[in-house]
Amino acid sequence: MHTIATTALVGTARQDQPALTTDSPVDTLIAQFPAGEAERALLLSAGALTIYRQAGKVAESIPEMPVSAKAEQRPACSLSVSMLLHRMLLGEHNDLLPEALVRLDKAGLRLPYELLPMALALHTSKLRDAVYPVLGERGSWLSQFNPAWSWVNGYVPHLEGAFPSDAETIWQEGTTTQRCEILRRLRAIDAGKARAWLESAWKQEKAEVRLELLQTLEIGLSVEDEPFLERILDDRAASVKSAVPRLLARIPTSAFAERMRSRVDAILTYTQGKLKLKLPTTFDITWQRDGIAEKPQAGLGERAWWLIQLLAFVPPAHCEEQWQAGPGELIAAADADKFGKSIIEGWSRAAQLFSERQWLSPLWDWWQQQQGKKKLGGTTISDMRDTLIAYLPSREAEAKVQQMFINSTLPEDTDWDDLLAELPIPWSGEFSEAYLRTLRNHVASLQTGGKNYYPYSDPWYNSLERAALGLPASCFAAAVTPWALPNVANDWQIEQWRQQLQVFTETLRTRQRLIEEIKL
Amino acid sequence: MSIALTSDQVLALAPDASSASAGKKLGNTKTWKNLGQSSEALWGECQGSALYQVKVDLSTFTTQCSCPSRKFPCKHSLGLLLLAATDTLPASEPPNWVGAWLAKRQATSARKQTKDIQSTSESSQVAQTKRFEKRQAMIAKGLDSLDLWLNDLVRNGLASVQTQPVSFWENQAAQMIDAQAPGIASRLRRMATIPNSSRDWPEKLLAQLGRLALLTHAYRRIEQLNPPLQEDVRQMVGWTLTQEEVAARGETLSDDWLILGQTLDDEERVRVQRTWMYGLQSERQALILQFSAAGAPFPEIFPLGSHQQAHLLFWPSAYPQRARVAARRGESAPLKDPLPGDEHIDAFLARSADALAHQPWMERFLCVLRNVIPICSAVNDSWYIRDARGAALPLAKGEHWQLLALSGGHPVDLASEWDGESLLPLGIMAEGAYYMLGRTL
Repeated sequence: MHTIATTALVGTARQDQPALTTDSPVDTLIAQFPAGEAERALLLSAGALTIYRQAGKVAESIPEMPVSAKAEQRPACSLSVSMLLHRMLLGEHNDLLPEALVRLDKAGLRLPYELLPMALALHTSKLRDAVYPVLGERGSWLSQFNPAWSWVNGYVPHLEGAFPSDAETIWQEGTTTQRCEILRRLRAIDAGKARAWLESAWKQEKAEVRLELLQTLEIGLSVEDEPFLERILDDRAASVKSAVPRLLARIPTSAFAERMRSRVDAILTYTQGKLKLKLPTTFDITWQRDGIAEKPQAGLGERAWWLIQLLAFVPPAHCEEQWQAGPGELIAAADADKFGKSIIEGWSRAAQLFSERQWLSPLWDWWQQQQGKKKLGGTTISDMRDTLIAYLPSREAEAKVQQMFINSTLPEDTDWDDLLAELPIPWSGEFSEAYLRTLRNHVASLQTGGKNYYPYSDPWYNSLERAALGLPASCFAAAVTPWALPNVANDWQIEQWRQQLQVFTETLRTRQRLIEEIKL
Repeated sequence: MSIALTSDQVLALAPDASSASAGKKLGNTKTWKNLGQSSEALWGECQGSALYQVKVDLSTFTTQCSCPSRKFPCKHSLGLLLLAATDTLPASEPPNWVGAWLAKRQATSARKQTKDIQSTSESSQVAQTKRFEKRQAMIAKGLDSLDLWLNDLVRNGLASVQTQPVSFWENQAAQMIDAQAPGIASRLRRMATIPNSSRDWPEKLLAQLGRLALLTHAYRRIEQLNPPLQEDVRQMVGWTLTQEEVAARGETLSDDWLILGQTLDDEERVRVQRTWMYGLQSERQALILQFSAAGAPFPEIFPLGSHQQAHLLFWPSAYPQRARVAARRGESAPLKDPLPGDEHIDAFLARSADALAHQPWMERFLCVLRNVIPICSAVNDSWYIRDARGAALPLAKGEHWQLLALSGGHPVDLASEWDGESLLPLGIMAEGAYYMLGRTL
């Protein structure tokens, strides 16, 4: 601190000879000042010194040139697209952001520089996957300066692009997400090498990392993976252990698969159209190693729980082959059994694990029929129904939902809107047309007079948000054609509908603009 | 011909973010009827809750809309400007409702000019002299007591103010208001925020106290100063000038003015807007101050990031900086060319030293630097700009990601506000386009 600043801080009253020198030409000015007014002299010196220093301000020095961003490989998007994206980044129609960014990437464009700080701040992996390819050279250059943006460095978008040349370094030094992605890509081209990498790192990894890395073996899974998997069935972490059976079960020739098949064969047989169940009364200790849990979840009996788990690890096709009977026949037989729901739940889990298409559809139908009937214990019916539909081929899944909304008066069909979230987007043209046609009829004939009508418990009303994202471009024109609501004055339900339809058409118009303005 | 504003410039006119976003929604032809454009104006009818008639005077970008919104410009006006920024409106003769408005505006501005020349009558001049003398006496008395107070402060030591409440400063400021020296009052109010605000606050406070002491010193000996500096000292104490006085004593400068940026401050319940301009030929800077109380809109609109021929009228000063726009001439066009300004930081610092030599109390200074690189240093999170020779100045506290993103480590032209310590970025010219900084819309 400067002498006169110290003097001022302490106060002139506490000093006999207050020091007023500034060691600058200002001192000659002060010397002309009448003695006896130390305070005034100090203030004026301080003022003069301030201005003297300000006028003599010297720049700092940064000798080394900063490293600049490389030239861009892609052109930036147009100004109007940039404005559209800016609004989405600010939160308007932000559910369209992934679609917009993916389209930008496909068109070979990048984000303009001014949007980069907002784009780098995106934080879900879905958005990061979408934004990463359009950040451009400038985006990755910029990300190095903010620790919150460090995700960009070495970011490996999910299942896209080639195996990077610095893969081994990423594998050694990267984050868990990056390492998983590297391993996943390596599995696709050299499954054995990927397994070798994993095995050599296995011991020093933490349990949650082991668990994540293990999932990559799903890609290119083969009999060669069996010895490693069989060994880690005895892993010290319960979470890792419980993930192994799902992999081993999918190696048809594995010892594990064989063990499971013989267990199921021992308890379930089928003769003359009837299933015969011989459920063990005590828990077999050898099951434990193979990932069967002894204690059931709430609402299930122990034996039913064991049955479900055992069936879940055997492909339903094995039953078909064993008993020379098709899925429909076997499901009907199970339906008649006391433990029918558990058998079907076991098969349903297995149909998902083994992706058995012939089974998924009839199983889904069975669960759908149970809708509206009394809730059974364990997994709720709608949970299983909603899970299964996601495994169906998209056209088949759409047909199921379409069936439901066309018959939506039946009790089991009422909450069809929940299933829309499971359908892949964009929807097919045929499904979309059926949806719009039925929606238009519904809207035109809305009966809101009753006190008990609430728009937000109407599945059609609730379906609009998903539909705005799912409808394909070919249906936009039909969807934004004005919607004719019943002409009832001062009806809050109608008003609610009007607003929801407006959001719906606005979202579609924005999607339309994206398609028009980001040309592929 | 589309108008000479970019969408960004239009959005920068928006009074708040919600108007900007509402304006964007209206920026498409679907919501408009009877759109048109002449060399003087833009117009259109917008279907909102009712049919609103929107018009824009192209020489000043003054907008008017028949909607009841109290925001200015309203979303309809912004929508029309946005539309005109991207599309070309059909050229036609202004309809009656536009023509009448334009004629009225021209008449008003002509009337103002005649009023400016009218001299005040003799009897009112006598009364004015009396009022002037009375005020002089009050100020002199006020400054005497202020000086005693300042001396006490230094006698007891600045350390003692750490524990003082805000009222310690506020009471003294109120006395200065009573003494009709509002300029001094606002200096005192600003000082209240310094104690404990940083590690070196005693030095900062002493610096401000010192400048204030120099000001009271100068005011007592005002006749010893050169006439332009006398004007500065009087204005700083709180003598405001009427429009007529500015016109009579100030300097008029006609130039092509680059409108480089704007800052907004809240001071004592009044919003203060500072717009910085730079004269292309004269190489002079101009600061346009606008005030707004209680959320009222600022009277004049400046299309940031564009340039326009205009007559500027400067307040009389030893280093004229504050100005108002007396008349705009011709069209405004977006900035595209490299900015005129200093190549080296040293040249800029010399310029600012020269300004201080003329007017030692100068607080803010427009800084336009060419070919400088913004730098984000990982060390203590500090930001700089660096010129080609390696000289550097710090940027104002805060984050400057937008600036960094737009420059990418390459040289850019930067306009900023210098407060003697650091630069507050206003706008940047990068790859042939000018971007406004610091405004978050």
